[in-house]
Amino acid sequence: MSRIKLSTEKVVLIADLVGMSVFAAEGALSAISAHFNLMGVMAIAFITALGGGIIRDLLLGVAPPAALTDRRYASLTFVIGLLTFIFFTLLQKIPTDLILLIDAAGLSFFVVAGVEKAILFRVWPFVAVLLGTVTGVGGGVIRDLLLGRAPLALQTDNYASSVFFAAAVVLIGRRLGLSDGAAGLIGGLTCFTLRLVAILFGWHSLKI
Amino acid sequence: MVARIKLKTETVVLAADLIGTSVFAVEGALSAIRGDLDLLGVMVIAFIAALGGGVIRDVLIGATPPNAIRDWRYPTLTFLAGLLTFIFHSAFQNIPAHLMLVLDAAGLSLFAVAGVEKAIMYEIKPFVAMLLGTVTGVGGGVIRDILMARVPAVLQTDIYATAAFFGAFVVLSGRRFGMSEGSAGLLGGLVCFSLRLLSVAYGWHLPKV
Repeated sequence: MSRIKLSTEKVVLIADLVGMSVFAAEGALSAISAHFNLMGVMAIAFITALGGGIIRDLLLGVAPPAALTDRRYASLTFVIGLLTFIFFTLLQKIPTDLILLIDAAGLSFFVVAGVEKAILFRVWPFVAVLLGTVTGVGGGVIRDLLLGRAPLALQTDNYASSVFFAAAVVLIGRRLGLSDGAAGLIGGLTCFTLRLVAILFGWHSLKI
Repeated sequence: MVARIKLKTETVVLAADLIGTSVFAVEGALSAIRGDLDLLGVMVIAFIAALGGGVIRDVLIGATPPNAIRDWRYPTLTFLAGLLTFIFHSAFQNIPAHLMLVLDAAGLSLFAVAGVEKAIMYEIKPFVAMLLGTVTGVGGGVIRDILMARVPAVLQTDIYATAAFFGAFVVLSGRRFGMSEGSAGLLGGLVCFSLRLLSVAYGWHLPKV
């Protein structure tokens, strides 16, 4: 039984790495489309993947942030940026919807990692939910700022709300006695499902 | 005799730091004036362009409050530079572009070296220290561009951040090979400075898709 149980730290690490890889690739693709050179592409890959986590860590009082103390994180994002650059023509052929889907997956992983880490630091529940949200959308926001765009996360459909809701689910799950792994899984699935629905049916959040 | 020489080194470093800060502050102010900002906006942009990189670095390595906020001389200098640039802007705008380029390269090199050395002092791992050196050099400019609603120039100018990165790399390697802080810093600074100017002179650029 102990084999199956995932510790909180493990959940955070796995979720972090997967989310990171996805976002790095996505960031690199946007940068290439915006005609950035190789260095710019790798920089955007780095910041899209790690920006959210860095903001979260700084807000939790973790300085230097995990992204900067563990060399593997930064290196991984640069490598992914480089690979995306090299194989761009191939990757370009991937349909937008598929990319949005992969983004939804990365997002789900990140929000889970973010909330669980905040919980590890014993912050107030609502704050943990907020930090989970920041972890999920933060990187994308910084990327959009650097690309000279208004942040997509604040405009598009149910992006930020899915994240927020999923973070809340993780927290509530734990309150109800679920293990870290189980709560994380359900929260992640919630986020993914909400995003999936938005992509398939073109939902939009309330707007004026 | 030794004490006198030591003091001189620190004075040199401080003077160089203040010069670098002033250059970036003036550049930022000129940018803001061109963007039709008012006096307050100009002074704020001058502050951020000059000190933003250092602030980001300090926050990331855990050196809070950041030096720019702890040491009153720095913010004062940048606001003053902003004010003077504003008042005498026609004179400042007549400064030849080449001169500004050289001064900017000097500021970049200085900040990159100072950044990486501070990161090392805080026991940051080598690769990340190099990144932080780069951030110190270019960070102010990035925030400035974002505040001016532009895509950051550093992400499009080919050999800018790269020059800073290499400068930081040389500083690190120098220390690895046993050079003193000062010598490694000087060498790294020269490398960054040369790379930047050479790339402008010869039109070097990085690959694009």
